[in-house]
Parts: sequence; structure tokens; C-alpha cells
Amino acid sequence: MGKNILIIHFSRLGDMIQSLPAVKLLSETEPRPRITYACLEEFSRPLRHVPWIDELVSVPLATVNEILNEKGIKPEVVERWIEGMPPFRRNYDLLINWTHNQGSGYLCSRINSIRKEGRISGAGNEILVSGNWGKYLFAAVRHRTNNPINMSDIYIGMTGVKHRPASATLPTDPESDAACRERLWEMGLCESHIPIGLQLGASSMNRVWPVENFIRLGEMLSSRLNARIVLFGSEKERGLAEMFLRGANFPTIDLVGQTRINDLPPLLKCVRLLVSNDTGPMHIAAAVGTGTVGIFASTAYFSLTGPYGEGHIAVQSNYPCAPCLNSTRCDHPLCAEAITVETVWEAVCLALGEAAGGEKIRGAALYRSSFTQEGLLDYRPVSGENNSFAAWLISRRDMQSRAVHALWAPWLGLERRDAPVRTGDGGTAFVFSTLGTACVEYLEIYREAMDACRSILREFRRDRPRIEYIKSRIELLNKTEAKIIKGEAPPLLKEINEFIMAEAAVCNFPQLARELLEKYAVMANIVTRFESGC
Amino acid sequence: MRVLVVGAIQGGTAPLCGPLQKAFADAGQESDCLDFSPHSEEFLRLQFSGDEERTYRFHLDIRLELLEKIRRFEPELVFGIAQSPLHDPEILGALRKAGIKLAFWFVEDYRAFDYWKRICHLFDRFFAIQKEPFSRLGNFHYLPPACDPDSCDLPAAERDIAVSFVGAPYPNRVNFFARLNCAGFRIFGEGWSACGNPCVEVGNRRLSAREARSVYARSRINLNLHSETDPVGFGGDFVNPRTFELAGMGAFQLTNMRKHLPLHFDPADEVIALSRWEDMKAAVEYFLKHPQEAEEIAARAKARAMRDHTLRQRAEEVLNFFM
Repeated sequence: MGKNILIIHFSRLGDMIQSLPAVKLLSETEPRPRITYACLEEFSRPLRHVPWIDELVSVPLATVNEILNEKGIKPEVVERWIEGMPPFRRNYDLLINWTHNQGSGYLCSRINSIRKEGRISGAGNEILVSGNWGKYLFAAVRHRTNNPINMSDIYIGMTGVKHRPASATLPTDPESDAACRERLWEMGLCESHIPIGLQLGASSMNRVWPVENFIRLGEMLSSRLNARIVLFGSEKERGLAEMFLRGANFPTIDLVGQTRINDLPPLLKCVRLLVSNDTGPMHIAAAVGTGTVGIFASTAYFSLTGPYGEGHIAVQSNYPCAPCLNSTRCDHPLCAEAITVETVWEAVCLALGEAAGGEKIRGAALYRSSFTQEGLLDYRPVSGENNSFAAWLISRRDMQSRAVHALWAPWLGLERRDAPVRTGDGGTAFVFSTLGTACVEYLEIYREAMDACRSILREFRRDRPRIEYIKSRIELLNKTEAKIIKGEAPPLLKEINEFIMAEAAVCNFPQLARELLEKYAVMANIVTRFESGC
Repeated sequence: MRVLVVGAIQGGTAPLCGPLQKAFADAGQESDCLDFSPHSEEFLRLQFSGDEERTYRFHLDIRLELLEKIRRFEPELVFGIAQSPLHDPEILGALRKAGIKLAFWFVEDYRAFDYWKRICHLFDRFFAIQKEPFSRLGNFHYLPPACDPDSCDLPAAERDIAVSFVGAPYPNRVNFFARLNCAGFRIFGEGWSACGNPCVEVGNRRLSAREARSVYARSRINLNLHSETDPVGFGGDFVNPRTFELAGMGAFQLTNMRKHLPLHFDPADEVIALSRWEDMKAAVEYFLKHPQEAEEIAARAKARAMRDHTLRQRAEEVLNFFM
């Protein structure tokens, strides 16, 4: 009999769709597990026909906000709510929490499961992240430019399933497909046109490519490729659609605000390509097998949230400040504006397999997705600007992310044959040697800390432990932690250190010393394997 | 309109007094200024002296000097600059009753200086270089810093300093600059001597405005890391006066990304703004090898500053509220 698995994912539509490859691969394990998937009701409809989800638990966003509020969990309220939610009262073999908030961590701590992955609260409601992949996920969010692993692959890693390409991860039912095709035909689509979708909006206006650019792109698509433009978007994006329609002098099928969320997958299946900002519909298009051109600006970064599947094109802003962090997000992002129409046109040509127009790429670098030998999604650069700082920085980030892959791959149980070797060009060698130097420095810190832990343990084995001596060793450990925080660590190392630290139970000194010893040994092992492997 | 500019006793805004007075004059107004910076040494001496009587006397003299100037010049608008002694509710109330309009330019980070809470409501218009938390004030207007074209117009200097920083040792600067392994990096500013950074060139005093401009002009790369109390903090909202000054001088700068920056400069084309320290370090490495590209970026910044960000333009913006 298969395992009983509960997945909790109270996140936005795009995140949920990105988790589907993991759910599908999980369902293909033998014996087939029973999968329960808890998500936000507002985004649940597209998942209703997913055959690898055995039970869909949908919770209204308002309830999640009220019961699992970040700012103040009321245990008695959560307990009462769980009482009325039978799926949360069952026993599971595996519980995976992909939600990024503290409230969901508390909920997970109240559910019985043999193994738990992801964000789970500890006994004192402290934030714990369980499993190496889970730790990597939460650390990578803060290090997007250093992370080459796609979000879908991180989700797959958290399930424990071996990576391999997953396709058609969001099946649609044939009846809906036919109805949507018919609807588009009624609205003016015909055989002679290439249907190309445009998604004008995004969850944040900072991530939106200007509508004037979409209009010019639409003109080029219409005149050069005989494309029929189909506009997608929610009611909230009506304003953008009106602007588009006012400026467009070519036929357009306008579905903005006229599409139920469950019609979105079959409708997106009808278009040959979707050009979109980083949004939920972009991920839906990829999940139903439609090609995409994703435009990434502001906080969005292609390597983490690029669409899953082969042949997608990511248009990544090459502004030096992009992707911005929450603390560096600006009032008036120029990064999206700077991506030229010609650049996105080139991306469209690449995605459609058309001969590229030879237009000058400006404001962005283009990447195409494919799968590596070990089954991970990989976005490789295809073209970009030359001879500018922006171009240099983005290519350096690519090198850096591959070097960082070499650092973390062994810890994540991955091969690192896809990482570049240290004997590459000057830039690659520099990136590797910088990372190597940081590893050596941190190895030294970990060794010192391990010695201190061993001293504490040795002292406690004595008949009469010397308290002052133990205090001095603990002081040394405090200093070590301060050094780890202040130093220039290899990317993600500090966050992972913090996540492991949070697991250490401060119940008694020997126990703490043992746990810390184990932690520093893990960290030392990570940096040593990088050094010895390069 | 008769405009009186009241300058700071001490601090980074003190040199702004004269140029701002000239900016109002260039904008076609009759203007004068009251520069309190000659009192700065006495002010600093008294600050930690514990001599209450002399301190009281000092502040009384300052007030009298202010009132005397107002009596003689008879301004229609009194414009105070941050750190100026324009904060006495009694005096401000009396000036208002006399029909004099009052304005204040808070060229400070509200997190570092909280005296704005006590004075903001005493002015007809309160200008600041941040939007929050001031947007709730009915008399607030966002007024970013600017450059003074006269002091920016220096003869071309040889770029004989590779990388420099001029300013105070805030925790983020101390932390990050300790990790910049760059030959030719030089630090100038009061308080750095105690930080143990081998790159410190002048660490026991604040550089004069003239000296600072000389360092900017001689540097191939100016690091403009905005002040931050968090040692690992790299973002923030306001754009500091140094950004505008460096731009106005055509001096190349690397800065940390600011929320308001794109309103004033293109963060990829006119200044180079980064979101992470590791990128700033990489940028230093790159631009030392590509000085021509740095010069071109700096030239575009200068053109932008002269077009949109002179003190005269700020003076005109202020006058729009009163004329």
C-alpha cells in the first residue's frame, strides 16, 4: 500500500502550478501514494482535474489570514479549526509544507506525520525548516542570483523523488478544450493565424513590461508572423487591456476579465505561445504544454521562477540592481521599461523556432530552458548585450550560480557534472577561486568551533567538570556564530547555518555541544567537498 | 519675494547655506542668508562641556542673531535648512503672526534624527528627502537634494585615486569596506581612525566641502554607500546629497540601490546602483579595468544633474508653494 502524503501549499497561483511537476513525479512512485493537497480556495479550481491529486482541500484566503496569521497565532483557535478539518486530523507518512509563512509552520506542527519537510514550527513556535532541500529553498529565496535551481526542481527535491523531466503537469479535460477552442474561433481565430497570447499584468506593477511595448510587439507579431493576438488577464487588469486596445491597430481577441480561472488552462492550451510577465498564467501555460516567453524584471528572476519545461525563453532584465531585494525595491522601476520590444521579439522568434530577426538585444539577456542529464531544468544563455557592465555582471552571475551549484550539489544529493570547471576562462576561474577562498576561511571557523564543542563534551565526561572552562568554550562558540554572521560567506551558507542552528535544542550544554558539533561538521563537509571537487 | 535662507550651525548641510541663497537669487528673488557655520567650533565645544550657563548664552546669542537678521532684512519667506537653529516654537509663532511664511528642508534620514517630530508642524511647508513617514503631514512636500553647479565646476583633475569613500563610519560602511580587498582604496572621514581599516587616509576629521570635492574629482571610482545603522543593510529609501554632488561634478559613482533613485537618475546608465554588496565589489573590479565606460556614465550623470537637479530648480520648486 502506498504512502499517505499531505502537501500544504497556501501560496499564489504561480507557486502552486510550479509545484505540480513534484506532485506528478511523487504520484508515479511505487506503490502509488495517496496525495492530499491543501491550497487556497481562490486558486484551487485548475487543480480539480489533476489526476495525481487524490484529495484537494481548499481553504479560503480569508480563513488562512485569520487563523494562520503571521503576527499572532492563537493555538486554541487553530486547534478548533483543525477539529473541523478531517484531512488535518489524519496520520500521514509524509507532510510537505511549501508555504512561506509562519502560520502554516504552526499548522504543520499540529498534524501527525512520520516525516515532515519544509517549514515546521518547533515546540516554542520557533521557525524550523526541515530537510536539506527545504533549507535550500528558504535560503535561495534570498540569493536568487546565486541559485541555478528552478523552484519546481526544489519542490521535487523536497519530495525525495529523483529528478527527471515532467511534462503535461496540468491536464485539462477534452470537453473544456473543445469549448475553449470553439470560443476562440467564435471570437475570430482561424487556421491561418498563429494564436499568440499576451499577459499584460502581474501581481505587482513593478514587474509589468510597459503596455506600449506590448502594443508594438503585437504589431510586429501581427504583421510579420500573421499572428492573432489573444489578451489574457483578470478583471483587475482591465485598465491595461483598455490601453492596449486603444493603441492597437490590429485585430485582438480580448479575454481580459472574461475568463474563469478554470477556463484558463484550456484557453492557454489553444495558443501557440504566451508572452507574459512573471505570473501565474505563465506557469499555467507551461504546465499545459504551451511555449512561453517570460519577462523578468524588478524582484523576479528567471533561474528560480522561470517556467518549467523545455524550450521556454526567459527575458531577464540586465539592470545592475535587478533582481531587487525587498529592501532595494524602487518607486519607479526602469528595468522593465529598458527591455526593448526588439529584444522580446528576438525571444519570440527563438521560442517559435523562427529565424531570429537579428535585432539588437538591449536591456536584457535571453535564456532558453532545457533539461540536464540529471533531469534538472536549466536555463542557458542564448544571447545578450556585449561590451557593457550590465552584460558583464549578468554573465558573471551565471558563472557564480554555476559555481554555487558545485558547492551545494553534493549536499542536495545531486551530481555536479553540469557545473563549469575551474580551468575555464579567466572569469570562471576568478569566480571559483573567490568562492574557494571563502570556503577555506569558513572551514577554519568550523574547525575552531568543532574543537570548542569537543572540549565541552570532554569536560563533561570528567568527574568534576570545570564550569569556568566550559563557559569560556561557550563564549568561543558565541564568537564563532558572530564570525559566521559577519564574514563574507559563500552564498546560502549563513542561512543554512541559521536553519540548522534553529534545530539545536538548548536543553543542556552537552546536548547543545553535540548538536553544534554535528552542525559544524555538516557545514565543514559542505565547504570541504567543494574545495576537493574543484 | 524676499527670501532668507537660514543655515546649519554644523553638520553636512552647513555648506548648503550660501549656494541655496544664490539659487533663490538666480530664481529671480531677493535673497539673503544667515550662515551659522562660523559658530560650529563653539557649538561642539559647549556640547560636551557641561557648562550650562555658557551653553544657554550661546543659544540665546544665536536666537538674537536670527531675530536681528529678520528685523533688518524683513523677509517674506524664511527657509531653514536641516540642523539650522530654526526650531523655537515661540519665535516661529511670532514670525508667522507677522505674516512671514516659514519653510524647512529636512535633508536628513528621519531614522537618524528625530527632531523633525517637534518642528514639522511649525512650518507652512516642510520639505524632506524621504517620502515616508512624512506623507501623512498636510504641509509635506518631497524635495530631493541637488547639486550646486558653481561648486561642481572644478578644473579637470588627474584621476590618481583608484577608489575612494568620503563620509562617516556608519556600521554598514565599516562592515562592508573591511571586506573590500582593493589596492588603491582610500577612506576619508571623521571617526574612521578607530575602525582599524588599513585603507583609511584621513580618519580623524571631517573633510571640508572643498577637500571632499577634490577627492571626488581625483577618484576613478567613488563609492557612495548610503549610511545605514544595520551592519549588513544595503537598501533604503532616500537619495543622499552626495549622489547629486558626484553626478554634478561628472565623477563616476557606484551606489547602493535606493527606493527613490530612479526618480532622479537611471541606475544603469547615469549612476551604477547595485542591490548587493557582492555586486558592488564586482563593479569595482570591472570599472577599474574599464575607465572609459565609467567616464561615459559619469558624463551622462552630469548632463542629467545639470538638466534636472540644480539647487536653482529646487528653489523654484519651493517658490511654487509661496508665489
